[in-house]
Amino acid sequence: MSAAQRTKGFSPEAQEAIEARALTGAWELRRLQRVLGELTRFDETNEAATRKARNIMIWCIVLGVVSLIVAFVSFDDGLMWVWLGPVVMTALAVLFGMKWRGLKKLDLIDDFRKCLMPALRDLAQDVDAGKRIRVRMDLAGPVERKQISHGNVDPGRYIQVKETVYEDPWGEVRLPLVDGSTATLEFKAWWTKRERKYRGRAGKIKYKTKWSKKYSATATLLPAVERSWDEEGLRSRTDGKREKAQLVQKEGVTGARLERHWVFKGVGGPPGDAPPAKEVVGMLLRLFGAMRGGSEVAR
Amino acid sequence: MSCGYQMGLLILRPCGEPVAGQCGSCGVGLCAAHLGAGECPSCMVMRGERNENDLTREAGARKDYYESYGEGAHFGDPAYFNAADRAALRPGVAGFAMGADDDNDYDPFET
Repeated sequence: MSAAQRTKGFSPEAQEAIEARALTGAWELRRLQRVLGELTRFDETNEAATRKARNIMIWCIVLGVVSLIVAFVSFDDGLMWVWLGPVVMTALAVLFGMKWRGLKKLDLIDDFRKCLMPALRDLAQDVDAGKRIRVRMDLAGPVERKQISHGNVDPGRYIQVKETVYEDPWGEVRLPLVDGSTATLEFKAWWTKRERKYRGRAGKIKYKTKWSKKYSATATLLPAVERSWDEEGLRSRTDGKREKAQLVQKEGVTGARLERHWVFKGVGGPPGDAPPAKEVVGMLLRLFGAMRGGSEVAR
Repeated sequence: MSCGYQMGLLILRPCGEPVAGQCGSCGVGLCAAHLGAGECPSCMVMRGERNENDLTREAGARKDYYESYGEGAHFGDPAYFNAADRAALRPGVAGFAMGADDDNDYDPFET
């Protein structure tokens, strides 16, 4: 199934976002959720098609090698048609290899569907339906334009270690809430690719690629009017090893901000993990808990 | 009389729509939207019916958040956020190892 077939029936906004691998603008909650749902469907089917193309390519390579051996064995018998097998298998491997590369270029990062969508679903009941949610999302993942460093690093016990770091501030969502306050969620990932060259036990030169993904999510709460904060209380509720809390002056009011860090790892390809939505919403819950007197609406 | 059902996750507030009946379990006055099958969404969730509709799903999600983050204390109570916050946040970050050395993992299929 082609990319165009997979987006058939999608909204124009979703098709545009898939093509640009980005989503921006001011959205009504339900509309945003619908478009994110369409992007999820596309990404899941695209990932399945990518896996299928890669597997077929690998099978074609394996069968190509086997048929080449068979062709050599049968060569003395004068059977010329046996060369057809390796030729066809090589052509198919190239074809599916190209398809695999093409599909990989359409891939969207999983973070929006693993973290942001469930968080939005849980926060939906507090979002002001009459106002729009401002969104800026870059769904392309670790691509060349985000590269901030590339080069050899201290190899340690390996022959050579090449490290590439990508900085990816992929998402920012500004939620207008029913009590007039504004909650902002910002997501930033640092993807590190480490290509190692080393000597195996039998003395052969080997290569291995490992990925890690450092992550920060920042939740900021700006009340509608100036409010006081239980700063000590908020700090006592943060995990000092991976969280940082601070009060911020923004848009004429004192707000509070909580930043939390994660690290994910992957072998071969970039890790698809994302912060659990529950932990992200939990940051906003704690910020609301630190606002003295509770929310305007609750009072 | 206005509907006394508590809406919201971050911002708990009464619904405020005109009352159409009472919850058969907790007795709170409810509007037509929250009356459902004669019970408020929170009471339905307490009975394990959290996937009945969007309202019960929201009430179920709120129950999960409040219980894991506040040991059941009511949102807004001084005891709401405590040491349980940190404990509740830990299980989801089992892979956390910022800066840890990961060189010792032997992979027999590596190329």
